[in-house]
Amino acid sequence: MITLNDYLLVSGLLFAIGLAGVVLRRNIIIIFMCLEMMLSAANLSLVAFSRFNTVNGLPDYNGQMLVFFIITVAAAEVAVGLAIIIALFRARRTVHVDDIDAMKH
Amino acid sequence: MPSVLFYIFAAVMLGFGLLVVVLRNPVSNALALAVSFLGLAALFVSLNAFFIGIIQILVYAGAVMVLFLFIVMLLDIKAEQRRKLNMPAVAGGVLLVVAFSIQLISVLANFEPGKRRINEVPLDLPAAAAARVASGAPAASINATLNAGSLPDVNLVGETLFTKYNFHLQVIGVLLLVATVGVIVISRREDKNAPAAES
Amino acid sequence: MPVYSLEVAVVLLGLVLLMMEAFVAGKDKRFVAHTALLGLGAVLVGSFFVDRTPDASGFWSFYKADGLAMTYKAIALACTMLVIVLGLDYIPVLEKFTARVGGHGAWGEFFCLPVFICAGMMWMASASDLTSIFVSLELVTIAFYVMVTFMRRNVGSLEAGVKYLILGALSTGFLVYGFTWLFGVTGQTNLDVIAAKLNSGTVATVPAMFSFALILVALAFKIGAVPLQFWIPDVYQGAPTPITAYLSVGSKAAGFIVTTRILQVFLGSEALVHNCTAILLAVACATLLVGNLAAIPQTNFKRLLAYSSISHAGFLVLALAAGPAGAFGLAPGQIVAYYLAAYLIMTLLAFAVLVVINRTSGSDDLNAFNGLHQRSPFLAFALLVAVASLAGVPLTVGFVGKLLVFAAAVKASLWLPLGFAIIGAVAGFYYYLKVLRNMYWNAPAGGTLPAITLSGLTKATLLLLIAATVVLGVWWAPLFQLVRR
Repeated sequence: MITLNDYLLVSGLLFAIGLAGVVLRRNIIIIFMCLEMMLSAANLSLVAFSRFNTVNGLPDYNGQMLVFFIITVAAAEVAVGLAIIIALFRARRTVHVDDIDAMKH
Repeated sequence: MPSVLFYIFAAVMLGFGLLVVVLRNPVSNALALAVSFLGLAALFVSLNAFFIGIIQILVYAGAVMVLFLFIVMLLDIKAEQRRKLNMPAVAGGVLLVVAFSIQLISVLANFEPGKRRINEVPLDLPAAAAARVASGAPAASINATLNAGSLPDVNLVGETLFTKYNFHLQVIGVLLLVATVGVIVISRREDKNAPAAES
Repeated sequence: MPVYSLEVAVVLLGLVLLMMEAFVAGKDKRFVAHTALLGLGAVLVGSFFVDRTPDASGFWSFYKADGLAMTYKAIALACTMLVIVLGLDYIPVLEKFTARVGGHGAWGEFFCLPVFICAGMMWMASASDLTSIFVSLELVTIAFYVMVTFMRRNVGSLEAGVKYLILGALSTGFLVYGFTWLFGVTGQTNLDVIAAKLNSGTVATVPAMFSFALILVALAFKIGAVPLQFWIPDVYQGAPTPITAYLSVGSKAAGFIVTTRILQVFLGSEALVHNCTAILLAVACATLLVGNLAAIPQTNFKRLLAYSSISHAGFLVLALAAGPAGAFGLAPGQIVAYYLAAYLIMTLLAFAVLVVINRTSGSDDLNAFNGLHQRSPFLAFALLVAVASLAGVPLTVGFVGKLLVFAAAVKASLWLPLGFAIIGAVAGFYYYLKVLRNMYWNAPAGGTLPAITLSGLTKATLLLLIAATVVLGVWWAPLFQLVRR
């Protein structure tokens, strides 16, 4: 049978895959997809903890509430983020992080 | 949920997640992410979180992925050309991810509560109904469903959200308003004869 | 009036402003800013007269109205008002770089969204539960994504927005994953209950430390500390200057109240306090070093203030790491609140001068300050007071803040971090006073430039901030009273 650690492991691996995408990829849209993956990975851990920390025989719904708010925030973040990316693309014709260099160093 | 299904869905989730990182065409990335989230939603359902599983599909696979695909096609982004890799940065990134994974595995190896199997922590629905009646929770239909032996997940989520968590719900309402206004501010249509952006 | 009506009032004010912006005729939207100032001022006054006693409802497990929360609410309100004043001075630049709608720039929302950010910061000040911390913090972060990108016809602002977006979302990921583990090992979301649980000895320490590290990385982004400090110079430089000031003061202060509350949980646990303190001290030393040494070669005033903001974060983390003893009868959280109140006054004074310079010369470069003494002795004096206070010259409010941090570090016998702090403070003298050389001794490049005229509101604000810097540097009692409420 499946243990809590199995869920935590796959969720942690998904988080690590997302993190790898964020640090290794150079396309902003793909980086953004990987960030969504990291948030979802955290959600899986939360739901697993909420299922295994039962309260009165039910899953701990406090954890699932946090998941609900994370999903809402992630959706809002995607909307704002993609608007910003479009505005950047209109001005610079690029979605490549290495091209974002207008600031002096 | 039988173990084999867990392994199948976990493999789908991680495999397609990995594809998101390695594929070069943004359309494929978006579709791979959608499939990965389908696997994730199945895992949510396996944890008795039916509502979260459904909104994972509706919000992510439905809305967010469509938005991503729309943007990729609107901007007509071609597959990335291979550029010269910045080797120190790549090595640093790989090191970071490897360090995180090792850390995670060492944490899990010492995490005793995590060694419980899912059937060792069963849901006890009649006890939950009794506890609800004892604490004076009003919704009789939820108690009836619990006593009938099925988990009214959506009702329970809704009840918690709109009673205990109504404060957060209002903050989230303000957040969505701000996001809506913000998206309009950033992408509203300009006069046709306006000059281009400057640096 | 119950205390939570303050945030309700601020959100209602924001809605009214949005409606006014959309439906009142006329191109000049300055009245939106004036209404916002009046409304926020009324709430600020009201915040001293609210009823803070909790009742039996479940709401109070998510929301805390202790003295610290009230101090940070006042900081959020005051900071938002000053940012709006700065924004009024910045309108000519906004007009140039915002979207052209109907032949003029569309900048009305520039004065509406900060009001919602203010409400988010006030909620953060009171958040005492993982879920309320998350939702209020994200409200602030998402609104800041928009504000940083607000000048969408300026490539610098767009690029700053993208950088802030990606690192902000990354820090959200770490925050959520850290919260997950904290929830997982304790089974609770309320910070006080989590603290009790961590202290009970039944909780596995390794996963708790794992969650501490993840949460610390996420909060480092908010407060501008190592390891997520590298976005600060670029984003500060590219963002609209009033928003840079807002990020530097408001967002940092809101990040520090959350950091204070979360650290109380970890530092209150016998099993964890040793390792957590060691990590925090390392973060403080690295932040002090990075902020101060990288500031020395800067030639752009906005970037200089960015590195200065990092170095102040180092001092603040040091105060939190110095342990529960505190100094001069103030707890570590109160020292941080005091320092941030002082930091608000002096930083906004510097940014107010920078906004005027930026508007008249179109540049944030240190060279743009050449000959400022001839062009406007008053502005030069205002900046003199600001940088003296930022450097920590005695008889300014910034000196008192630094003194409290040093006293707390001495009390806790943290000699090595204290050494880093002293190196930082000395380096600070050098790079802050570099600005003075430009103002008082260097001649402007293009011959004599015209004198600068200031609006009445700007003049009054500058005078108020100068007076606050000097008076509160000599007469410490009012701020002590404020943070010890």
